[in-house]
Amino acid sequence: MIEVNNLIKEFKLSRQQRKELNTKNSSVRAVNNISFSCEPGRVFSLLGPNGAGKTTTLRMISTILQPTEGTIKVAGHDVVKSPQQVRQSIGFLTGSTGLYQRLTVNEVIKYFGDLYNVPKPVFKERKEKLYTLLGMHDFAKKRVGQLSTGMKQKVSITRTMIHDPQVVVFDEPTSGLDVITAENIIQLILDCKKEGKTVIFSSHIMSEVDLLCDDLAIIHKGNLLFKGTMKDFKSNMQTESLTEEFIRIVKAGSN
Amino acid sequence: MKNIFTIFKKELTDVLRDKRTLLAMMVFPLLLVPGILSITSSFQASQSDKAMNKELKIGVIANGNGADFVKSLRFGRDIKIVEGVPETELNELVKGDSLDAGIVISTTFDQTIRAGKSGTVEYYFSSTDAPEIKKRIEGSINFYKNGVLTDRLDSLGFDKSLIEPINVIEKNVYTPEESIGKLVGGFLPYIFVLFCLMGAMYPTIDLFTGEKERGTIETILTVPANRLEILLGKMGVVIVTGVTSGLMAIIGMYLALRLNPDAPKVIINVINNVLKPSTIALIVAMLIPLTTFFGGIMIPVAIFAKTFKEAQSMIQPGVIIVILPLVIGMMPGVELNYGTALIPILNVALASKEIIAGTIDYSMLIVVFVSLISLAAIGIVLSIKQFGKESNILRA
Repeated sequence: MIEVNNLIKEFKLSRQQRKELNTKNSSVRAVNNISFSCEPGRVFSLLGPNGAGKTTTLRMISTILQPTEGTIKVAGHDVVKSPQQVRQSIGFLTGSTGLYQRLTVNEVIKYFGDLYNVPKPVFKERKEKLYTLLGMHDFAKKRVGQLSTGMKQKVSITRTMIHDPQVVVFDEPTSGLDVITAENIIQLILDCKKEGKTVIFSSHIMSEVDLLCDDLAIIHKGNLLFKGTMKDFKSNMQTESLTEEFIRIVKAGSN
Repeated sequence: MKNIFTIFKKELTDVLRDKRTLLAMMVFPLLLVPGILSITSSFQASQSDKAMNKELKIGVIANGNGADFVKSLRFGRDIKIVEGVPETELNELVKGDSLDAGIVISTTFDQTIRAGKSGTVEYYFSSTDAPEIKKRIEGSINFYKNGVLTDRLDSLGFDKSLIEPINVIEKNVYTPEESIGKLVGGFLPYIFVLFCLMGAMYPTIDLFTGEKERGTIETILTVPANRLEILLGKMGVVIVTGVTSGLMAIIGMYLALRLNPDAPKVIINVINNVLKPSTIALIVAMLIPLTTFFGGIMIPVAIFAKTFKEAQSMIQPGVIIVILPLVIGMMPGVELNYGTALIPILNVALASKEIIAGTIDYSMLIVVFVSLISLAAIGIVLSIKQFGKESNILRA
């Protein structure tokens, strides 16, 4: 469960940034008073064009950034008051695999297992299960730097799921991946849903959203433009396709 | 604590698999300094050997005077007198190395010597030549000078002691071991402090800027270790690599001198003295807070920088700042006192000098430690502040 209430995030601008943006404001608002909630067993999609505030929102949910105002509760824990508990309950995955190139696959997985305090027998069992599921045994002893993008993505997935998180946060998980590799991620999201986990993912690819999500929110320039179930979204569509509808809502929100 | 250790272990493995770090931490300090040292010392030795043994060509313009003077020049070992050189060209010939020196005897030389006065000779020499050459020629000149002086004193019936009323017998309060200890002690910190800094530099950039550049920073910030634990785990690796690098430099120097067959026994004795476990332990004990302090300055910069290159260009000029107190520490007369004990880097240089020479004042050493540990603490606080800043995480 993720509950986001009246979330605001402002970034201070440096003198150079003020010059670049041609503004006299000392800060810029990246997320402007948004609220939504994600339920267990459902997939929530955060949709928006580049620079909409998707990543900032997901980073606040994952405790990388702190909200300026508003509250976020993840699995019942407040992100500001109990960040450790929040971190223990989430798995965070981005499209850029973000792995340690000089470590072997086993070392990476062990590292995260240790950091998440996974007990040894549980770790062994979970690792075995994920390795088998994703077909990782062949390259388990190789260094990450020697792996293909697809293999790296599998390592990232195992790394994210090794502590069996209740909540999984995906920040544009398929960006930069080919269809075959992206398929691993899509399968992972569907599995998480099946297991009753809370899933939130950001995207700007409508087909992906259509395939996966139960609920969605559209944000643009930090503002929430739409919030509801996928069913509602489809039934209220004023255009032919999902992509056209997305563009229409964003354009209407810009005016 | 468990998290700090987990992070430390992983980062150490990671860093030790990086060739750049291995080069900076182990290979360079172990080989570079001894290499440079043995090349320069053998070069210097061969230069001075050459200067001592080569045949010296001295262009002499006698102007019909100073026959005895020229004779005594000839007495010198391997000296060849070249006559008939035009006076106008003498300067150029010495400059151009066709001659090693030039002597012009004044036209009134014999007359003034006979009159018991000072005869004049012009002595052309090249200040860029090995000093041994000038010494050899001056030796020959002095030989003549002493002869004339003895003759004059004899003719007056005086003893030589008349012009040398004081006989100074020099007694060095330091044994040869101690004086060389001070010398080595002045030079050694210059090497190991610099290597400490260099050894810590790459891991600092790799562990902080590298994490941003490779896109792993977000992942590590979402694990249940708090930022202080992450920072301390990483900082531990920076300290280990820095101190190891400093130690390697000491070992490298030791091996270079130990394996050098020409090294005098007194130097070997000093080196063995330096390598005593207690001396090494004291030096390492100083290097730990010093490297923490270096880390405390470099880490915030590395956290701020976007790329490896940016971090490098921001940190490397710092090496020059570190060299300055080290050079001051090598100067004679700069001693460890309650003032200098507070100045970082300089205090390590001066304290090492005293430790190696065996003359350390332990109350002063405590001041050095207090100063270093306080600075290390400031470094850690600076790093924590910078590591927690959102603007740094986003600056990618």
